[in-house]
Amino acid sequence: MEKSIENIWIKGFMNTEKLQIPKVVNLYNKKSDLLLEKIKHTYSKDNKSVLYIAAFFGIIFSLFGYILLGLYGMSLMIAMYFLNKKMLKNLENIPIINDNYQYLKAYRIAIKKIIAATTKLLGFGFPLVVIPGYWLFFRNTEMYTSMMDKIEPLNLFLGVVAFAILISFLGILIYKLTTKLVYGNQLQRLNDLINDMEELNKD
Amino acid sequence: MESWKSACNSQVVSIYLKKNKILCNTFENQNTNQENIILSNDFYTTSIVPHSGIIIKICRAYTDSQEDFEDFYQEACLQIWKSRNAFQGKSKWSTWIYRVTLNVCLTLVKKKRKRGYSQEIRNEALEDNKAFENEDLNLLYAAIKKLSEIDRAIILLHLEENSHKEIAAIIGTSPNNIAVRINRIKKQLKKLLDGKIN
Repeated sequence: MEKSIENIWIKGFMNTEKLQIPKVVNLYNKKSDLLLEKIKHTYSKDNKSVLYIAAFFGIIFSLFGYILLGLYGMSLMIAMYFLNKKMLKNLENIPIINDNYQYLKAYRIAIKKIIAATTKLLGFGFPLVVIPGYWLFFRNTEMYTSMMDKIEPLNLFLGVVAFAILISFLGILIYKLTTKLVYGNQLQRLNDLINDMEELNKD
Repeated sequence: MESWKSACNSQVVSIYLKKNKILCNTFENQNTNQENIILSNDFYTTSIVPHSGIIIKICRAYTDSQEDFEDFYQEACLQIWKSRNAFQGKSKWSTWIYRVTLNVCLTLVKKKRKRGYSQEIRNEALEDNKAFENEDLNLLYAAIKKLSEIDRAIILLHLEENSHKEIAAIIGTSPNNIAVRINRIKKQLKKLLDGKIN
């Protein structure tokens, strides 16, 4: 018999009963190892804890007399909870039953969506938390009053804007670096696979 | 349908009827004497194990260690189980398994392990492919692993005797593109295996 790859395959798998099936343990309760499913699982778990943290934040700051700050922090966290929930819903059904090309594209879109949503959240959310938070905390202090007397309103405005841009930039930078570490390889691999598929479609 | 459920005398989660083949998914089956019904204690035994050869052959081509292979196999089984309700019998059950297993293999991240990189496929075959008794098959697997991930999928589906149309439907391209690519891959494999096969 000629040793074509087809013949090697057929001969090699002639006795398929000899194939050793790996031991499957607790299949129906197993957590998925797919990156996207891991992210979904972590997000869903973390998102629930945001609600508890919001309640804790509101109570603690109210008890120490910072009711407004407590309420502000709490509403921001609740808003974050709903935003995350919406994002999770969008990620719910990545169709693993689709053909490979469609699935890989959907998978890449999903990961990019997570990155975009978190970047936006940090870009806008970070200054929104930090600046009003500082103001609410220090607004009745002597240090704040004396500082207000010394600084021109326009300068104050420009200073706050510059500070907001700086912390927004820092937030995004830190996130981008972390993302590159966590998703970098996976995204590169997905890009290569999709490019290869697109090359195949051009053949 | 109700009579079937009671006949199974079990908690029937889902039943797929297709021609003479009935895949009945149960968790607590007490009566196994039903005619024409592939019944067992769980979905894995009835619907995955008979097709486990497909999953093993694909997962082997995408992994370099026994640990990764077992992880990929389990993940493929998990995803097949999780997506079972979407199966409507429009394609063959085996096509469904190919598609889900390949999607898992193309997106699952391998565990990092330290190892030297070797271009010599005979060495790699000896290192990684102790799984098969047939030496030529081990060499063929080592050569297949040298291909791009998409080419691996195409050649595995071809070797499993799927038609160009079926391969195109699983991969997501046209049958003509598949035919062209298979010829190219076979030439590549021939070059890789040249002089290595006895």
